[in-house]
Amino acid sequence: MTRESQIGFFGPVYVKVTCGLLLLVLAATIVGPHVAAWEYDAIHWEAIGVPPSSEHWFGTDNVGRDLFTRTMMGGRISLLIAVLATTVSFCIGLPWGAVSGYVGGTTDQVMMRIVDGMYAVPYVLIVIVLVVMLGRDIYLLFIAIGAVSWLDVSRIVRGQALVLKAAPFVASARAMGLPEYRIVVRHVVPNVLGSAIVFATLMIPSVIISESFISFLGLGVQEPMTSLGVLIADGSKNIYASPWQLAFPTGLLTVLLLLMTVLGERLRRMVTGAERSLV
Amino acid sequence: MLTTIWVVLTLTFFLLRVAPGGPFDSERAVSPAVEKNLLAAYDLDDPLLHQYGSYLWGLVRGDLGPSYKQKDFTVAELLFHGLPISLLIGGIALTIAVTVGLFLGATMARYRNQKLDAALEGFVTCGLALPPLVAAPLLVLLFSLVLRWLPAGGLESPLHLVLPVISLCIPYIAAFARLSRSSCLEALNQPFATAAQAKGVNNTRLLWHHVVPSALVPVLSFVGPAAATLLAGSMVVEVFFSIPGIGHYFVQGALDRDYTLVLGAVLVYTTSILLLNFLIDLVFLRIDPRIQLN
Repeated sequence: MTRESQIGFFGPVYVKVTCGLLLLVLAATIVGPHVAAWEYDAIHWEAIGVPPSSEHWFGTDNVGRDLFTRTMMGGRISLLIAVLATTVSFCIGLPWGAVSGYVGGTTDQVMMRIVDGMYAVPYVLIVIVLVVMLGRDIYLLFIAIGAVSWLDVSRIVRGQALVLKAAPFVASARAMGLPEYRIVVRHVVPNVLGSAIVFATLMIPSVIISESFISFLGLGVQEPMTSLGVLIADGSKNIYASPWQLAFPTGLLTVLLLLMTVLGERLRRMVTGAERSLV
Repeated sequence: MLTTIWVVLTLTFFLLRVAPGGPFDSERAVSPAVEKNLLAAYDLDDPLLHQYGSYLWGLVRGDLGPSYKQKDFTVAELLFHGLPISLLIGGIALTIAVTVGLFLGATMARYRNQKLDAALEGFVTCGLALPPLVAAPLLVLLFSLVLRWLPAGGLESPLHLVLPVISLCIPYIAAFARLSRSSCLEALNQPFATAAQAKGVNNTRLLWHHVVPSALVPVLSFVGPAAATLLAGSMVVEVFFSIPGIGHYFVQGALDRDYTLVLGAVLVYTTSILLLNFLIDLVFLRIDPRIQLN
């Protein structure tokens, strides 16, 4: 094992700092909308498009809604959709990969060719078409994203299942005469779970990007509900008159993605081991 | 290749039609008689399978149908107008990403586990966290609003291309840099690299004449997948900077339920990705003597 895995995940100072900052941002998105003096969808006619002040910390948007509350709310929705979409992709990818890897043979061939085929299709096109089909509903958005991002999960899980198939305890389970589905459910899946969960956390930033992207194009979260993509789209329409409308949501998204990517990299390096000490 | 295109088109065609709503829905409902005439004018009242058949037949003859929303334009006209712009931006961004990424990755491999490597690794991690949707607003805020160096949107001069291209290629530079680093390191570990070193080849020559050429294949095989995800970025960039490329039409079409426009854009996208992959395979034949046609 590498030196890094002996120190533990929280070893270096930068990891502790990043974790602390991320917790702070998460807390802000959860608590923020409640402690703020304004509702996220309340319209204030007397304060339309005002710059940041002590009253409205991030200023207001073009219909006079408090931007601090909206940005925090947007962050919360983006995170929520990301977690749910990752769960969906997990629910599809895990059984798919486990069955494909364990059963093997023709079944494996067919299941993996389907995955390969879906890789060849530009996934954005499918997400957008799915979103158009399912309607612009926040509850369907994460299903659409999850439905296309399970491919990576299924590949990882399949690889693990192939290894587990040869493990002695699986052989003994088979010798005991357990039915196949029971071996998959009780012996293969629980053992794959660990690495699959690590991989799923690595996926969250990219799912946040997908959600923001779709909402930015106007196909995702709809008014008066908001997400970071919606806020960036709104802000980009008024960059000269009120740049703060673009700056704050972009800032939050940047901070979120940077923190999560740094932690994800750390996690990835610990799991895959010796990337840095290759030579 | 044709099969993939056909599968994607068929899937898109039926998924779009399952959706409730149509291109002629609007805030103010049109009278049933008018709607009926509209649907009849575009053959949208035929049975679905019949419509599918006539769409495919039109496709074979090179007819992508009329746009339902952009009156007086056929889908082909719109796409031919948008394609060169999208190709230009995407092409430049991809070229920059591969060359800069390869250069950075090779440098990181040369100074592996030293300060320069660690510093560049930090930049790469940041780059991966900056998709076009984040990079574009940040760059516009900095270069258009604070510094006032570059225009924030539109497409009137080459200068207007700078910000879109940069915001599109940042994460790909990072991805290519990381990939190049690891494949250069792999090449460095092989006997031929040791032999060259033993022969007294200096480090720079070893890197660019021996290591990089053999590391090129894994790097180039990532160009195809990169281009497929670059599509999403190019849509963001085109919408954000108000550039009339294919991405712009695709998004507009999806918002308007302009079936033919969406299908046309999907067709162009899928075809260009597949063509790119084909071209890369051809390039492999040129650059790597180990790969041969059977």
